[in-house]
Amino acid sequence: MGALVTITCASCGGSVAMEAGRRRPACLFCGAETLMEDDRAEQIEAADTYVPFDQSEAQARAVFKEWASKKFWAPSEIRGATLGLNGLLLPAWTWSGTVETHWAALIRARTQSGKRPTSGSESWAVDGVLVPASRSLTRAELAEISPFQSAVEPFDAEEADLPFELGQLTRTAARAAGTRAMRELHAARLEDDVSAVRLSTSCLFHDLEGTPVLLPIWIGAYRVGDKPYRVVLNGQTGAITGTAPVSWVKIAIAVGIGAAIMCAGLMFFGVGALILGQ
Amino acid sequence: MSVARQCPQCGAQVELPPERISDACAFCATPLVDGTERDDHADLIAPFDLPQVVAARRLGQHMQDKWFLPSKLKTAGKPESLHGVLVPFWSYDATARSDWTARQGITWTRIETYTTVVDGKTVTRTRTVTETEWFDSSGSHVATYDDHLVSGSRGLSEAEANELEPFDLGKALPFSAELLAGWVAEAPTVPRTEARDVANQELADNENSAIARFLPADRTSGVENTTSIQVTELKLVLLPVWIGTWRYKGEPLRLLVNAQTGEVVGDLPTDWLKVTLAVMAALIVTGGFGLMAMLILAILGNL
Repeated sequence: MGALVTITCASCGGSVAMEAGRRRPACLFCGAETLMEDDRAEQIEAADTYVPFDQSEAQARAVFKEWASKKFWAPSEIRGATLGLNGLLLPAWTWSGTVETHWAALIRARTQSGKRPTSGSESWAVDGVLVPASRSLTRAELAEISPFQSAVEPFDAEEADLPFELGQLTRTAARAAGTRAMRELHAARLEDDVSAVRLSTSCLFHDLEGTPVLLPIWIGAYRVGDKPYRVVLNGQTGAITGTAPVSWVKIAIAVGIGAAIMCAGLMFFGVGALILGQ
Repeated sequence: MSVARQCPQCGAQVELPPERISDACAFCATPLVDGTERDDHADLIAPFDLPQVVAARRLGQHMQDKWFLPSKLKTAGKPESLHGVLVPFWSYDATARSDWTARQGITWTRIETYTTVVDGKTVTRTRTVTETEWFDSSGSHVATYDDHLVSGSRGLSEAEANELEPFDLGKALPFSAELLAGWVAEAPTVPRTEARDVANQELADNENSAIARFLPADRTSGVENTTSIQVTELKLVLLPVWIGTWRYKGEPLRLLVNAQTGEVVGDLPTDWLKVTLAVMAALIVTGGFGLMAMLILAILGNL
């Protein structure tokens, strides 16, 4: 005969009731709800390795100057802009694994529509796919200043002499971001390989491994006029990305010059034609 | 067949039907949970998010929105009973691998010349015609499914279960007897072999529409797939449903409310007299318009 049990309150020994509409049962007598611990919330794993800085602040400033001087369309004030620069270790996840992609595509062909369908599948092993784990860095920015060499060192938060930020992604969320990145990378690769006009992919992921890591980043802020702009530097390799203002005066001048050249060309041909005609 | 057990709180004899794993003592309302070790023990339980009053309001609203509901039911308002039941579902995590064949159509345009008569003269004009070029194609497709639910209760048909979904299993807690206390909870009455067949069929159907969306051509037709399903994890979950019941002309009526989303599911009787009246009214209105139109035409014709 099966045993029939009542639930007993852990604090007073009374019966426990689950009132309709309540998420947790409460003791009938003392109202205590301390019967269960909700330990489902996934903990955020702290990084225990980091990539050290190889670029000093002076080097980072030099990289910015060089980058700014190559911004052809930016107003010349950009070269004199003062850069507020902060070096910090930013949290990210690095993922490796195998992407198994089954794809269908349209490719160029000698058909009436100029296209035909094709399909295939490919497994691709990748590693070092980085996804940021902080709001200070976007995935696009991180992709542009990647890669980092995997020369990591153990990280101890207690003894860190550099400012660092704590990660904001659980393993589950980081995994979703990592697999999305892998899928996009593989799709871009396949698009090139098969010269797809249009491509659809469906993916499975195998042997996924993810590790939280801290990356050395210089974040720079500068102003042109009263508008703020931002650059992000790879603190290991010096790769840089960022936003820069566009000078409408410069563009107007360029368009003017272009138009003038075209006019001159037309006049030249016109005159030439006239002379030849005579 | 129900089993008689003794309430450990008041000593009363309590009947517990075999599919019930928890209920309240009819005499002292002490929450009772079947402490027997069962091999079909639930893995997860999702608590009730929607309190009874809200479920009752949802049911009332649902009935007000039905035009052709018999007035007696509409004015009856509250259900005769509204029970919270933790209904068993089989939850599948699975990988689907499909081989597909399909016709894919790619559109292209051509310029066509044609002749027409303008002001009594024959002229040649051109127009753009869109054509579709069809190709036979085949390939493979993969997908993963998390928490695909199949009803584990004979009392809840798979069709009703699908209408009640989705449930958020993220809110479910690991099984503990405390969570059952005070609720009616059912043990699964649909065995896992049968549920597995249902899951295979549903996932293969899902894959068919997924492949149709996946194909890159402008148009697709005749998508056929052979799909193999590999189950990576099977869980038995108890999900919260409010069940409202009425009696109407001697027939039992039942509506279900998803106690997470408030979605209301169930068949309601139709008042055929109301439907007939509505159809007649519609006919009279359109007929009236038709008559008026004929009259106007006749008058215009006479002018």
